[in-house]
Amino acid sequence: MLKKIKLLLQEAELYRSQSLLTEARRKYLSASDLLTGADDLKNRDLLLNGVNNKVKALELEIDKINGATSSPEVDAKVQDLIKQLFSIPESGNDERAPLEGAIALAKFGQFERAVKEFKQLLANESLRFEAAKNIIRCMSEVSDSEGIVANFEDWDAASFFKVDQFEKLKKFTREILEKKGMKHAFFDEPEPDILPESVFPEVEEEEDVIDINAISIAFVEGPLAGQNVELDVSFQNGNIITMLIPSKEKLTIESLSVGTVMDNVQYFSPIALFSGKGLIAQLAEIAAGPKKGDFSLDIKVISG
Amino acid sequence: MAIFNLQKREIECKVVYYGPGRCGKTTNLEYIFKAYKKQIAGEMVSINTEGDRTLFFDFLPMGLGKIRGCDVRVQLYTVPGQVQYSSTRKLVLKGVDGLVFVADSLEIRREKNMLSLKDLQRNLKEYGLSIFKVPLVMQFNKRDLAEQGIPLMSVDQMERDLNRQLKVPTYTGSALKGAGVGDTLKECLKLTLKNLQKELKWSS
Repeated sequence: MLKKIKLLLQEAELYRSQSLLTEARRKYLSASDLLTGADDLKNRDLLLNGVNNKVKALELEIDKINGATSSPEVDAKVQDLIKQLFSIPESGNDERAPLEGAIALAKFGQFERAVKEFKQLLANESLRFEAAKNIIRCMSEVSDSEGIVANFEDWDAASFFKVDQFEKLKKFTREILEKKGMKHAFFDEPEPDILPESVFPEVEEEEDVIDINAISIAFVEGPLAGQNVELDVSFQNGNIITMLIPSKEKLTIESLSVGTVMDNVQYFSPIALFSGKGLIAQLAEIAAGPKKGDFSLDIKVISG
Repeated sequence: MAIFNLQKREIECKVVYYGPGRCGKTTNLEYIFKAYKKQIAGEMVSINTEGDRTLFFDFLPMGLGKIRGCDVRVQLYTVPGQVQYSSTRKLVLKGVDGLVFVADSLEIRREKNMLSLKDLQRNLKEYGLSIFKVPLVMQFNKRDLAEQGIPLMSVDQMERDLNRQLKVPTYTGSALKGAGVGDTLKECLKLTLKNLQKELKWSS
């Protein structure tokens, strides 16, 4: 028994020296169990006390490691290195290099510095919208919803974005905050105005389109001629539905061209299935974020 | 993916050391930094966290001189081995040209080795790469610990566990003492450059 205990303690110590703390703790616990049962062992209590102290010390160390933040802010020199090593623009477009650098910082959890760099990029009109989205992403990661609102107020005061871009950013923020279980009244969807009937201008009413979950496109020409492709709807705004197409679905992407009206589209909704036409309103590659490289497809629903 | 500057005849490639936590990836790079001074093209950068564990990555730039008329530079990286740093491992793996999988010879780390190799396969797949096709060398590290009485797996068992299907070159090593470190790196560089030569149709 004593030999076995000695062996376990020796192994535990070796694992500890290798920083294999969980393994070391397990060996010490096994030794502790054996010691507890060894009533006739001389100095048993002393030994047991020593082993239990080692277990406690290991547990403290393990907790410290597990409790360490996974993305602490590192010093500026290391941040520069991260930017340099992980920001090669895939497109070869040098104008995007600063944006890619800031994105790399964000990916490594260097949110504070990343936000600073994204803010500088707001001056560049072609990168402004993407930079703003990334500012929102970074600030949501550190749960700074008040900071996001302050940015929106600044952008609004400076008329930094066109009205539709501003609304898109608000919607984007609302979705991000919702995903994180956060909410801020600033991003609540405005309730429709209730106006007296007489005030309504006599305009052509927009077709009322029900919620659509998915669509099926029957291709009649192109590389997918004769085939059906089903896509899930990720967002709907009136009669415009948006779908995400993974980058690997090359043939589907190649078969779609903006401005084309597709005659054979089936629309699936929770209450009905209907056929109709669909105008390809937009097809754009997603330039940043987890869906980077995938495509966003907007289709205008033309029913009947 | 390697950067090939045709005009300057320069190639820069990326080799990543992968493996479970505490298997000796950083120790491999530290030994390379000490032992191959002539080829080292800059400082070794280590970003560590609590308990001296790799947090983001280690980085060591090397210059191999002219090969077939091209100036070849290699960037060596390690990934953080701890399970919770999965997303960082994936980030570091992006654009990898060659891999060294460092396996821990301690019997008690058998399962961790296998899980890490599976993690590598999964992360490569997400970048559209196959573990069966990417230049890969394995190192069975910490063989010296047998002298201290720690139960180690036999090399045969490690081959069966980790290399039965892959059939990649394997080396025994003791990174702390430097044994096998140079051989592992040289073999990995040989496979990586051979692969790049084929991919980039690079000739003198």
